[in-house]
Amino acid sequence: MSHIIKKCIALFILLFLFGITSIAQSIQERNISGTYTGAPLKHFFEDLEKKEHIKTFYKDQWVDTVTITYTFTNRPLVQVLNKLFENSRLKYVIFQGDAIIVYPRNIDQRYLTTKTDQNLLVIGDPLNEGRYKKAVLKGKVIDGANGDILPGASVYSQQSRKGVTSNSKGEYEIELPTGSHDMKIFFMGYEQNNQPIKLIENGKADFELYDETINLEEVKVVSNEASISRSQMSMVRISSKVMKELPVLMGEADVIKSMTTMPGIQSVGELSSGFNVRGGNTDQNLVLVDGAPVFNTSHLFGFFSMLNPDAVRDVTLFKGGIPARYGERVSSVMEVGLKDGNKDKVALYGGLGIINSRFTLEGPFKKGKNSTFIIGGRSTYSDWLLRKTRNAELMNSVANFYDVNAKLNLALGKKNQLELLAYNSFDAFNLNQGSLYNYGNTIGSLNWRTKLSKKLMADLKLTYSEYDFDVQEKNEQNSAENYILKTGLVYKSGQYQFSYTPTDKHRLNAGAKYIDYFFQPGEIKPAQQESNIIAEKVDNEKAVETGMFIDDEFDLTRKLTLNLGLRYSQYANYGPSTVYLYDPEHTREVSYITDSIQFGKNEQVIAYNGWEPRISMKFNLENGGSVRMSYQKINQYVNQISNTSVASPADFFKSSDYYIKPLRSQQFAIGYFKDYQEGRYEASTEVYYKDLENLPEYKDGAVLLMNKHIETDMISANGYSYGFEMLLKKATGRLNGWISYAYARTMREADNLYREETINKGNYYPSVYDKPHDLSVIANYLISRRWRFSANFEYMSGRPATLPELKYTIGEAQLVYYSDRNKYRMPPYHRMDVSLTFDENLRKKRVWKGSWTLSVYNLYGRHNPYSVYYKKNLPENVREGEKLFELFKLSVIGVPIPSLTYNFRF
Amino acid sequence: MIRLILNIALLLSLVACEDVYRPELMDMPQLPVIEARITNNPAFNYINISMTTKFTDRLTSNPVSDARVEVLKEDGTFYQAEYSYSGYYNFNHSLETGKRYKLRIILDNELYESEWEKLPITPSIEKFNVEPYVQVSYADNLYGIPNKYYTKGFQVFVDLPATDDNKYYLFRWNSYLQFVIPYNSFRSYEWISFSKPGSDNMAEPSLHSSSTTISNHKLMFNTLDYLSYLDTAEYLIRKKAMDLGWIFQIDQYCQSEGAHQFFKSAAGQLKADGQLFDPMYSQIKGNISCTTNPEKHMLGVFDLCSVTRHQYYVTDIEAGNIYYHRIEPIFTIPNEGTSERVPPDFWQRKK
Repeated sequence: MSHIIKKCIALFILLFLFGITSIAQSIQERNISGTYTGAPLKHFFEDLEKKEHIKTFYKDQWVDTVTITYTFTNRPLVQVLNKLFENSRLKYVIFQGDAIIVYPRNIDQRYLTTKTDQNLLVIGDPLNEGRYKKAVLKGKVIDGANGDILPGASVYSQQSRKGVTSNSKGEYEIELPTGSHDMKIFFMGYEQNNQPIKLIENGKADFELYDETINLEEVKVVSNEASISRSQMSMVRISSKVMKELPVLMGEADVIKSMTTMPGIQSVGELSSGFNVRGGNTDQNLVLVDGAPVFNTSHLFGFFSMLNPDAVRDVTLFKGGIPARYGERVSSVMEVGLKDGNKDKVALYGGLGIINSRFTLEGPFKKGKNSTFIIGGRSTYSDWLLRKTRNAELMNSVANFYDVNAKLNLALGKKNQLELLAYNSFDAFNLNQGSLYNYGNTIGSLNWRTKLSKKLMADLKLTYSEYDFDVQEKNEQNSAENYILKTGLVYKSGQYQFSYTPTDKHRLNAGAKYIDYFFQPGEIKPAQQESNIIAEKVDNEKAVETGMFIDDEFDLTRKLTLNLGLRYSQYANYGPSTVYLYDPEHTREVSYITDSIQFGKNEQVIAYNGWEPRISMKFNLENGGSVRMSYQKINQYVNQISNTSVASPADFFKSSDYYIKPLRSQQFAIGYFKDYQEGRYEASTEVYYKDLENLPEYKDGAVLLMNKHIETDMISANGYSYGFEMLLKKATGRLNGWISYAYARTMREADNLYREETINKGNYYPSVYDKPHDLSVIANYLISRRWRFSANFEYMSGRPATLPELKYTIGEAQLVYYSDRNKYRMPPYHRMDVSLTFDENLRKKRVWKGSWTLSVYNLYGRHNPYSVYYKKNLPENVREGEKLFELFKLSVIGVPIPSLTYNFRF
Repeated sequence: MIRLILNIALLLSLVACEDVYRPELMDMPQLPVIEARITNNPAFNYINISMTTKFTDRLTSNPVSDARVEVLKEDGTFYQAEYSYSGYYNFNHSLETGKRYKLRIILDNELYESEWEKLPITPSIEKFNVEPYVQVSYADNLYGIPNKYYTKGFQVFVDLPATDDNKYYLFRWNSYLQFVIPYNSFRSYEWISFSKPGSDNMAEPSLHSSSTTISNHKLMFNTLDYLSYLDTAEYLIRKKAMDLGWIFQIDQYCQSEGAHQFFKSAAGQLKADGQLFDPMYSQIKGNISCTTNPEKHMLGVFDLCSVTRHQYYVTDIEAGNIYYHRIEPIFTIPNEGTSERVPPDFWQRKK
C-alpha cells in the first residue's frame, strides 16, 4: 500500500512540477464558509466533498491527529487551505482543478533546499499561495550605496528564462509564473544580485546593487523595458556609468562620443560633436534632452559635448524602427535622459579636470519623499590657462564655455508627476583678437504625467529650445566697418500622449504634437552708431509642424509580436515673406528673376504633408533568439545649411520653403538577436537599406550666409544607404567589453535639368559620410576591486575627398583643378585609447568617495586626417623631394594626450 | 613651477599636426589654360596659354604655341595677338574704355570664347596716406613654439572709389629705396628695389557696406628693420648712407566682378589651411567656355581691365615726421643701380 502511495505521491509531485500552472485556477477561487472549533481536519474534508463536491485525497494516518479551529465566511478556498496548513506538517496541492491532495511536508523535496528563509523574499500574502497562475512583479533597481536609480539593469528569472530591463526611471515590470524563482539582477559595474523569491501574487520588490565595476550589462542593443517596444530593433542604450568608464579626451566623459563606439554610428573626427547614423548627415539626428531638442550639441567646436556627464542618466539612440511618437528627423533619434535626483539624501559630486571642472547637487525636497531636485554646472578655465602662457597668439585668444542644468521632479499625489527642466549653455571663441564667435543653447521643458487608471497613462510635454549664434567682426583699421552677424532658431512644442496597456502583451500609444518654429537665417547689424554697415536681414521664417501618431503593439501569435504605427505630419511655412520667381528656362540665378510674390504676416506660403508608416516585427525562434524587421518612413522639414564637411556652430537652420522641399526617407531593416548564458553574452546583427529624397546639396562656390536668394545656390539631390552591422558583447566577468563592426555605403545623386545643378554629370557619388568599414573594440579589465583598466580601439575607412588632379599656373600662383566630387578617399582613421582608474575606497558608509582616472587618448599618436587641403608651403620648410605647392593633411590630435581626472562624491 | 605645469598642459593641448599628403592620383586628360590681362595700356597687356600638368608632376606648365588668339570688339573689329615664346602672346593694341570686348581662341580645332566684357574707366586713388605701423607676425622659435614678432615699419593706406562701374581693384606695387653715399670726393646716388613678386593686393567694398568709398585699404607695408635685408643693411651702415627715401610705384587695375572673383578664388585656394572646419573644395570658375564642344573646358581668365600707374615719394619715416608727395609716373626704374655725382632722372627730393 505504501508503495502505491509513494508512486502516487511521486506522480503528483511530477504533475505539480510540470503542470501546476495550467491547473490551478479552477476551484481555488470558490468561496466557502464554515466554523470549526477543535474539529478533526478530516471533518473539513468531508464537508468540502459534501457541500462543494470537491474530493480530497490523503492517508488517514497523516490527518487523524490533526484538529482545526477556524471560522471563515465566503473566503476563497485557497486562502482557507493556506490558513489551515500554515505552520502545519502537512501540505496540499490542487489536482486537475477539482481535487485536493494532502501529504506530509517532508515528502516535498522541492523545499529541502540549502537556501535560508532569511534570504528568501516572499512576494504576496502567503494566504494567496497557489491562488494565481501568474503574477506581475515590479519595482526598481537602485544603487544600494547611494540610492541612485539604475536604468538599463537586467532582472532575470532563471526558472522561467525570462528577463526585463529597467526603464529610464530604474523601474522594471515582469510577469512570471507564481512560485519560486532565483532572480538575478545584473548591471554594469555592480555585483550581481542573486535573490531567491517566492512569488505568490502581484507585488513589488526593489533590488539593490552594489559597486563592483566589472559588468557591462546596460549597454543594450534592444530592450524589453516598458516604454520600449518588445519588437524594437536598431536601438542602442548606454548608461552614464559606461560613458564614464570609456577612455576619453581630457578625461571628460562624452555623451555623444561614447555612442560612436556602437555599430552604425560614426564620428567625423576629434573636432566634431556631430555624429552620423547609417550614413546620414549630422542634421538628420534629433537630439532630445528630456524631450527638448538641442540644435548644437558641442562645446569648444566639438571637443566636448554640451551636456554635463554627471547630469546624464542614460542615452538611447534609435537608428531604425523609430517609434511613431518620433518624427522631425530622418536618420535617428537620440534621447538623453537626465537624472531625476536622489530620493533619499542630498549628494554633491563632480570632477576636476585639466581644462574644465563640473559639479552636481541632487537630493529630495524632503527625505523619503518622491519630489527631488538636481542642479549642476560645468565651466572651463581655458581662458585663464591661455592668459598664463607666453604664447602671444594664445594670450590674446578667447576660448571658454559653461553650461548649467536644473531639474525638478515633483510628485503631485500618487497619480501625477511633474518634471521641470532648465538648461543653458554658452561658448565664446576667438583667435588672437580676431572675430569673436559666440553661441549657446537655452532649453526648458515641462513634463506632466498622469496615471488615469491602472492601464491608462497620459503625458503632457511642453518644450522650448533656442539656439543663438553670432560673430562680432572687428576691423582694427576701420571701426566703421565693424558689424555683428546673428543667426538662430526658436523651437516651441506641445505634445499630449496616451498610453494604454490592457495586458502586458498589448500596448497602444496615441497622441499629437504641435511645433512652432521661428528661424533667423541671418541678420547683420552695425557694431556702433557711426558705421558704413547697412543693417540687413534675410527674411525670418515662421513655420508650424503638426504630427498625429498612433502605434499598437500586440502578440499576433505566441512567437510573433507586431508593432504597427502611423504618423501623419503636416508642415506649413508662413509669411511675411517674399518668394522670387525664376525663368524656368534657366538654372535659378538672381539674373533670371522674373517676378516675385509677397506673402503677408501669417499668410501661408507653402504647405507639405505626408503619412509616415512604421512597422516593427519580432519573431521568437526556438533557440531563444529572435528575428526582427522594421520599416519606417519619415519626413524632415528642417535642414542645417552648411557647405563644410563637419558641422560648425556657424551653420544655420532653414525651413523647407517654396523651393526647398522636405527631405523624405524610407528605411527597411532586418536583424537577428540572441543572448547566451542568461544574457551574459549577446550577439546581434542587422542589415538595412535606406532611400533618401530631396537632400540639400550646394553649387560649387555657394555663398550661404546672408544670402537672400539661397535657392540659387542650392541643389536637390537623392541618395541611398545600405549596410551590415554586428555587435558581440561580453557583459560580465573580470574581462568584459564589446566588439562592433559595420560595413555601410551611402551614395548621392544630383541629376538635375541644368548643368550648374548637376554633380559629377548626374552619376552617383559617395556622400562625404561614406565610410564603409567601422570597427570598435572596447575592453575593461578588473585588475582588483580598486583598480580597473579600460581600452578601446577604433578603425574607420577614410572619408571621401575631392582632391586636385591637375595643376596650372596663373601669374605667380600655382592653381589646381579638382577631381569629380568625392572621387578619392582619405587615409583610414584608427586610434587606441587606454585608461586606468583607481577607487580611493569602496566602503559603503564612507561619506567622501573619490577616484582617480589616468587616461591616454590616441595612445600611439596616429596622425588621423581631419582635413586635406592645398596650400603654398613656406620656402624654408621645403625639404628635398618636396614641392613649394603641396597637398597637406591636418590631424587635430596627432600625439598621445594623457589626462588625469579626479572624480568625487560627497 | 605652476607656470611650467600650465605651459606643459597647454602644449599638450596644442597637438594638431600638419603633414604633406601625397595620394595616388589617376591619370586625367590635360586641359588648356589661359591667362589674359588686356588693358587700356599695351605696356600692361599679357597673354599666356599653356596646358595643365598632372598634380604630382614636377613640371608646372606646358606652353602652347599654336593657338590663334583674338580680341573681338563690339563693333565687329578684331585684333590678333602674335605668338612670342614659351606660351606668351604679344598684344600691342590699345583698347577704349567703356567699350565691350571678348576674347576668342582657336586651339586644336575648337573655339573658346569669353563673355562680352566692358573695359572699365581708368581707376584712381582718392586718398593716399602713410603711417608708422608695427606689423605682428608669428614664427616658431628654436624650440618649435610659435612666438609673436613685431616688425616696425610703415603702412600705406589708400581710399578708393566704390561706384557701380569701379569697385573691384587689383594692385601690384614696387618700392625703391633711394639713398646717398657721401664719398670724400663725390656723392653716389644709389637705389634698390624692395618688391615682393606675386604679391597681388586686392580691394573691394566691405561686405554689407553702404559707403561709396573703400576706406583705409591696406596697400603695402615696408619694414624699417633693414637688418631683415642683411646685405643692404650692412652696406647702408658701412657706407654711412644718408637722405634715405622711398619711391612707391603702384599699378592700380580696375577689374570686372567676374575676373576679380577669379583672382580672389585663386588666392583662397591657397588659404584653406588654418580653418576650423574642413571647407568643401571650390573649383575656380573661369570666364571662357568652349563654344564648339560644351564638354571641353578651358581654365583661366580673360581679365579685361583698365590700369593706372601711381608713384609717390616718401621720406623722413624714421624720424616719425613722415613726408610724402605724388610724382608723375616714371615707367622705368631699374631694380637697383648707382649714379655717381649726378642723380638719375627719377631721383626725388622733398618739395
